[in-house]
Amino acid sequence: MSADAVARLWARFRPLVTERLSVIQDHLDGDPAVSREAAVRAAHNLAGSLGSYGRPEGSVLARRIEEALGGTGAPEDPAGLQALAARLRAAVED
Amino acid sequence: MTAPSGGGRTALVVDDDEMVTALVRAGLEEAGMTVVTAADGHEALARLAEAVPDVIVSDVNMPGMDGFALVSRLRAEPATRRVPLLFLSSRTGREDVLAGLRLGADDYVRKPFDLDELVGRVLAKVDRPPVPVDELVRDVRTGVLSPARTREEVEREAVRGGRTARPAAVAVIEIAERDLLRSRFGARADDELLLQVVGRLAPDAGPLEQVGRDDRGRLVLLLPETDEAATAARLDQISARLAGDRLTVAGGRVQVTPVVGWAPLGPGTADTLLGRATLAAEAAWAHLDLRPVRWTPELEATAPRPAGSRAGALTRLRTRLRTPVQVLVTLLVGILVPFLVHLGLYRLGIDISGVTYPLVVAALLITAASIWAEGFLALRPEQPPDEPASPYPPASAVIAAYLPNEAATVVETVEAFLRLDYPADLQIVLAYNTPRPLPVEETLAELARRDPRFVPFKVEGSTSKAQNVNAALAEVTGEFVGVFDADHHPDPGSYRRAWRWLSSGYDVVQGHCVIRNGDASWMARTIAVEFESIYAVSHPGRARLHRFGIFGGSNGYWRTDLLRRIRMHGSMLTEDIDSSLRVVEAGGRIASDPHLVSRELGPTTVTAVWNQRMRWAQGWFQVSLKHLPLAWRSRALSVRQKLGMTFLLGWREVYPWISLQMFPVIGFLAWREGGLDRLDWLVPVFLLTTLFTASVGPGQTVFARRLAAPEIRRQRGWFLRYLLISSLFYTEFKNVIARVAQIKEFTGEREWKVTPRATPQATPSEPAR
Repeated sequence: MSADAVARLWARFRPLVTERLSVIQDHLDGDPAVSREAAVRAAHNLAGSLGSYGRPEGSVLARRIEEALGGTGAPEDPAGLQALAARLRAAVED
Repeated sequence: MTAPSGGGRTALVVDDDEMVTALVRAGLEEAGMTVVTAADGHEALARLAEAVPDVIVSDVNMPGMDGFALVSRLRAEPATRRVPLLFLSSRTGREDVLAGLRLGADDYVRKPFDLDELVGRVLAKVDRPPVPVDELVRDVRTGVLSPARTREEVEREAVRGGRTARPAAVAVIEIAERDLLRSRFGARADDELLLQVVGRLAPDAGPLEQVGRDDRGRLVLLLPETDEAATAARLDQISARLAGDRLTVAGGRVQVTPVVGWAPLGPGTADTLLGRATLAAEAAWAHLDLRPVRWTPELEATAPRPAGSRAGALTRLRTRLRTPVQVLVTLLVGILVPFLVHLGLYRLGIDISGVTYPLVVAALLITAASIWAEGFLALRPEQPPDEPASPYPPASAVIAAYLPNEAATVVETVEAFLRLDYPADLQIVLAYNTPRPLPVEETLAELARRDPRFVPFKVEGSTSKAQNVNAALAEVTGEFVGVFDADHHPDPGSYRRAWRWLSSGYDVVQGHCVIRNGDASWMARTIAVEFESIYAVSHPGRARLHRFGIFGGSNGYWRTDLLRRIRMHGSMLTEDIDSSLRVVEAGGRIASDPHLVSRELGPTTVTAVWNQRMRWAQGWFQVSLKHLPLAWRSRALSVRQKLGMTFLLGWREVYPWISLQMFPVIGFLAWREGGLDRLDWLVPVFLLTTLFTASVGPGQTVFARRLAAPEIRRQRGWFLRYLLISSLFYTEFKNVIARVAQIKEFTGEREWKVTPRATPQATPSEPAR
C-alpha cells in the first residue's frame, strides 16, 4: 500500500490519536474523571496502531505505559510515567 | 506495493479500534477484496449470518465477545468452520499466540503490524484455504491416520492378505490413564499423549506399519506382512517401552499403563476386525499387566450384551430417576408444603405471613451479614510468628492415594515432595491401596531405594483414605505430619511455615489449596475461583470470627501425637471435618493460614463436581448431626465458639431450605392479594434486603480476587465469569445438592464413600477437598 494512502489515513485519525494521548495524560495528572482502565485502553490502542502507521517507537512507548498502568510490566514511578508520556507525544509528533 | 490478487473475495475485519480496521480495509481493498467490518464478536456473528466471507481478520481483545470466543463459535458451526481466520492482536505473548492457534485460528499476526505482510498472509489463506483436521487423511502433527482412513486401510489389508495368503494383524493400543488425564487437564492431554506415544512407536516400526486412530481416540496399529509371533514380539516391545518411559502431560511428568489387544487379519469387515482387537484390549484392561492380549473366539462371550432382563431395566430406571425425584421432593417440601401451610392456616383464620415474612428476611440478612463479616475478617488473617518457638524437628508427609486413579501422576507428586525445603529430616510416606498389582509400584520401590526419605506403604485391604492415613501413622517418624492427597504439590517452604504455627501453641494448621488445572474447562475455572473464595476468604475469615479453624482433608499439618489419638474415622463420609471437630471439642487449636499454599487438581466436569459436592454435603450433614449436640455440651468451647459451631453445623444445614422460603411466602401473599401485580414491591425493607443479599455474590468474588493466589488473581476473566455463573446457577446448584444430600442421608443412601475404578469406563474419583 502506498505511503500516501497511509499518510491520508494518519491525517484522518490524528484527532483520535490526540484524544487518546490526552486520556493518558489526564489520568497521569490525577484527573478523577479518567479511570486507570480508560488510560490502559488508550495506551493499548496506541500500542497496537502507531507502529502500523509508521511510528514504531510510539508503539513501544505506549506498550510500556499500558503495561506499567495495567500492572503487567515493569512498574514505573509517577515521574517515570510522565516522562514516558512526554516521549510518546514527541514520537507521535515526529 | 501489494499486487492485487484478491479480486472478488470478501474479507471480514473485526476490531474495536477504527484506526486498525480502516488501515486493514485500505490494504485489502487495494488488493481487490471487498471488506466488511465489525467492532466485536457479536457484530461479527451478525455479519456472518448475512454472508460468509472468504477470510476473517480478527482482533483478540474486544469488548463484548472477544476474538477467542469468536473463533470457538466459528469452528463449531458447519458453515464457518472452514473459513480461514487470522488473529491480529496486541496480545503478543507466546501463550496468547498458542491459545489462538489451538482454538482454530490459521495465523496470528502481532500488532503493530506491517500492512503489506498482513495483506500477503491474508491472500495466501484465501488462495490456499486450510483443511479442517478431521477432513485430513492424516493428523498433521503426528502423521496418524484418521479414523475413516484407518478403517479403509484395515479393510484393504484384510482383502490383500486374503488374496496373497500373507499374515497380518491389527492392534488397538489404549493408555489406561487417558480418561483420568483428560478429565484433569482437558482435551490437550489427549493430544500430548498421542504425540508422545506415536513418537515411541516410530524407532522400531516395520516398513509397512501404519498407525491410525479409532473413533474413540485409541491408537490402531496395522501390521502388514507380520506373522503372529512377530506381532506378539512387536507389541510386547511397544508395551514395555511405553510403560518404562516417563511422558509429559500439561507440563508434568506422568507414567502410563499401556493396554494392548490385537487380532490377526482374516475375512471380515474392518469393523469386525477392529472390534476383535478392541475386545482383546478390553480383556487386557482387566489385568493391566502390560501383556498384549490376542483375540480368541472365546473372548466374544465376555463382550457386553446390549440388553438385560426386564427387572434389570427397571432397577436401572429406578437408579437413574432416584436423584431427579429427590430434587423434586426437596422442592415440594421446601416450597409447596410451606405454601399449603400458609394457605391452610389462613383458611382457619390465622395469617402467619406477618411472622414468616420478617423471619425469612431476617434469616437472609443474617447469612449475608455473616458472609460479609468473614470477608472483612479475612483481609487481616492471623499470622504465625516470624520465627519458630523451637528448632525445626523431624517432620513427615502422608500422601494418601488410590493407585489405579493416581498411577499416572503419583511419581511426580512424590518427587515434588522430595524437593521440599526443610532444614531437618523430612520423611515422605505414600500410603496407598490398589486392588491389583500395578507397574508403577516397581517405580516407587526404585525411588525408595534411591532416596531413603521416601517410604511407599501399601495398605492391604484398605478401601478408604481414612484407612490409609491411619495405617501410615505406624510408619510416621516426624514430630508433626502433613496430610495430603496424591495430586498435591505444596510450596517449597510449606513445612517451615507449618512449624511456625505448630511450635507456637497450635495443634493443627490448615493451608490454602489452590487449583492448578483451572485452564482445563469452564468448570475447572469456576472451581479455581471458588477454592480461592473458600481457602483464602471463608476459612481464614471464619477462623477469626468463630475462633477455630477446620482441617480440610489435605494440606493440613498435625502434631503427630494428636493425630495418632484422634485418627480418621472411616465411617464418616468427610472424615477430615469429623476429625477437626473432635480436636476443637477437646480444646485443641486449629489455625487457618492462607499463605500456606499447596496446589492440587480440581474436577473439570459438572458431573464430577456434582459427585464431589454431594459427598461433601452428605458428609457435612452427618458431621452436623453428630457434632452439634457434642459442641453444645463441650466444656472446652467458649460461648463464641459454640455460636460458631451452631452457625457452621446448624445454620449451614438449615439455610438451603430457608433460601427457598421467599417463594412460598410471596406466593401466598400474591394469592391473598389476588395477583403478583397487586403486591407492593417497592417496600423499602424488601428493596434493601434484596440489595443487601444480592451484594453477597459480588462481595465474595471481590474478596476472593483480592486475596487469591497470584496465578489465579491474574485471571480477571475467571472471576467475572465466576460471578456470572455463581449468580445464575452455581450457588443454587450447591443449595440443591445440600438439600438432596440430607434426603440421601435420611434414606441411608451412601454411594459416595469409595470411588474405585474397576472398569475402563468408570468415572475417576475426584480430588478430595
